[in-house]
Amino acid sequence: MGRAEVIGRPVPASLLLVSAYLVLFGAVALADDTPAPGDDEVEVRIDTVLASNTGKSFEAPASLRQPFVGLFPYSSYRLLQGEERRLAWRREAEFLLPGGRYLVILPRGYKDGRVLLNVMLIAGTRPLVNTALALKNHGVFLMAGPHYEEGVLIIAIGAGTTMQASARVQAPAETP
Amino acid sequence: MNCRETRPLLPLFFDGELEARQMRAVALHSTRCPDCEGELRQLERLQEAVASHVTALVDELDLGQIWSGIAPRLDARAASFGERVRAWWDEREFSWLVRGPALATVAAVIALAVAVWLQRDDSTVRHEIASRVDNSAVLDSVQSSAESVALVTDAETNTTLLWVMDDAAAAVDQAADQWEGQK
Repeated sequence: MGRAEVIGRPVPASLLLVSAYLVLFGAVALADDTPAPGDDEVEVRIDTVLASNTGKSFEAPASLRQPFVGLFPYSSYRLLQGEERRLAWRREAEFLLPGGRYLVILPRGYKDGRVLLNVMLIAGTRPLVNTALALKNHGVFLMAGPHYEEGVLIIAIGAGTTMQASARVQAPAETP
Repeated sequence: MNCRETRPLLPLFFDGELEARQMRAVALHSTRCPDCEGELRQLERLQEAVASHVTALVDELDLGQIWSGIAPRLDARAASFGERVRAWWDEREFSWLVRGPALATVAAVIALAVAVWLQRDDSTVRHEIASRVDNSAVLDSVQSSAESVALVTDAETNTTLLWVMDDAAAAVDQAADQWEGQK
């Protein structure tokens, strides 16, 4: 059997290199097409973890391991759900949680490197807890205690914005 | 050609190393000269004796052991992966038609690694590190319908935990109204 011959001029290596660069950086750009949160919004992430003493495992975000170990006595942590949203300032948003509970988040503003939040945990029709806090930008605040299945729920509330500390203050009047 | 001229040429004639003209002359003389023909016969016997002796010596050799002795040395000298790649690369038939895409692929992989690293450095790492290092929170107010509420802070990460009990009987009715007032 004869060997196939390539007819024509070979493609220049420089053209191949340029093409490869364009394809790669195009792919990276497409992969990151979701814009970062701007000054008019804040990124809020809610991770709901079931903590219990049945078994020994940690199946939750790695960033939560250290605070969990320092704060809780449980041997097993399992992420039930995680949800991330970009919220407009002063617009409340509801996050459904396991066991018929839900969380209402109201980002009030940004001041001194902290995101000001109102957080309400509701069980059924009654608000279980209602708090106003100033969370370090890109920090995580934990709520825990509601029983679920064989353990308790831990709700990790993270909030972050690209807004600069001195750029804008949207804090409303203080809560009475 | 006489015997004096022929005798020095007899060994060369026997080995076939003379020119055609000399070969013919020596052969013609030998057929007519018993002395020269006798000397050729002696050469012939000598050759036969040497050949039979050498053949006997070769037959005594055990050639079956040769390959088993050579093979391990060949394995020890097997070309490394780098040498094989270099040999493949240096083959004449591979022109830039092959080298071009190969170089482009290597460059693309390096570019992708750099791009991924830059992307990670820009947002993901910063967010992860920030959330690990300092989670401090200042609570302005807490209202709860639970029987007990505990506020705990992890010293390592400054993470604040608000612990509430789900089975409280009493509810804070004004919480919803207060919520509306905060908006």
